Amino acid sequence: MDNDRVSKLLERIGRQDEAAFRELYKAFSRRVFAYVLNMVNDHGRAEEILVDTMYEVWKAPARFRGDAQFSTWLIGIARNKALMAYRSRRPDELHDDLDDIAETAPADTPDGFAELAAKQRSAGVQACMGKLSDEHRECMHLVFFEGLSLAEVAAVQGCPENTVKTRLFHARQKIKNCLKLLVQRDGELPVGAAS
Amino acid sequence: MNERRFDDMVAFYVNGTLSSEDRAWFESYLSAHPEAASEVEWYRSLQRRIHDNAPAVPATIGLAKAMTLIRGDRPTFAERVSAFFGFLGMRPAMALAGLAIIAVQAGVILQMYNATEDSAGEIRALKASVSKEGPMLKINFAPDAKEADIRHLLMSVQGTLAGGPGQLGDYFVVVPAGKEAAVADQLKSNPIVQAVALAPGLPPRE
Repeated sequence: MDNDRVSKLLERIGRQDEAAFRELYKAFSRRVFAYVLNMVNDHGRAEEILVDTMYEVWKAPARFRGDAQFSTWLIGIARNKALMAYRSRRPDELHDDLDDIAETAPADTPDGFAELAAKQRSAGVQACMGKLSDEHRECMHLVFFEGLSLAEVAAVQGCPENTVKTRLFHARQKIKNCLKLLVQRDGELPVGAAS
Repeated sequence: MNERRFDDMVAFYVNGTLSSEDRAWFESYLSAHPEAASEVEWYRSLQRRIHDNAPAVPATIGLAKAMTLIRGDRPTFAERVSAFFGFLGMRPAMALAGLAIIAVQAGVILQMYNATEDSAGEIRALKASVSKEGPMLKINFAPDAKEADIRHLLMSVQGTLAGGPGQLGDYFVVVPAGKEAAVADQLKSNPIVQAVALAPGLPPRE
């Protein structure tokens, strides 16, 4: 949905038009939910945050000024709410940062990348994404799921572009090594082939 | 230097957000370093897998909760009345007093109206009134249920208000024939409903 359509719907929402709200909700709910779920890893909580996020739109639709893509703006709201939910989590609910997966590895070879690309599975990628730190996982999601540009990711994460580059670099190393371990464990890839 | 630039750009090349200038540089780098293509392919595969892992949820996830929330956000009848008196420059206590006077007057008028109807009882008995024939459902709503929520709920079950609310807060609602039990179950699961019972018809006038 482009920003023009979004603006029209927001205008109607400003007049308490429920049908417009429903249309906007359905257009963006899955993306926001996917983003929040990636952050909080809890379906129920992700749904609550999605509803809260969309409720903010209902209460103050004029807050969106069209400076960014609406989805990016919405994710910014969802992010604040997810971070608040995150802060309220008990310590034993926190993710491990998984220091056990090495970031550094011997130089990658073209064959290793090709083989990894061919053998990595969705479940393995999901498991390895889950092992990244929150910031790294969010960064990967924003780039590869949301398709945001470097500047947009920096805006959402509230950090300089160079920090995004660094996060992506470390996330890439960790996820690659995690995937290699998984593939090796399943006996599908000879040890050392991708490293 | 070039390798570092390649590393910084590769993710954004794959997600298609590089500027045309950066994209041209990146593609010329790929031409000069064909071995780097496998890394690009790995990123593409990673992107596909990440999309595959998107949660399979309907677009309506949470929508019912959101609608309840936004309807609850609207001013209640009492708030609207209070706002109206506020608009007239009256203090809340005066507004409440005014409201009480209106309620008493409305009660007197209703009583007079009922008395008139009773005197025409014979004529009324001859006249069929589908909406007041049983069976129907007797429903009690939570004290904080809003008028809009009640209306919306009754519409959702194709219910027609036949009578009420009585002194005990009983609403009598006619629902599609044969669906009384199913509708009753559906209503019971709604948080604004306190009790639902099958009633043979409207109770006699007091």
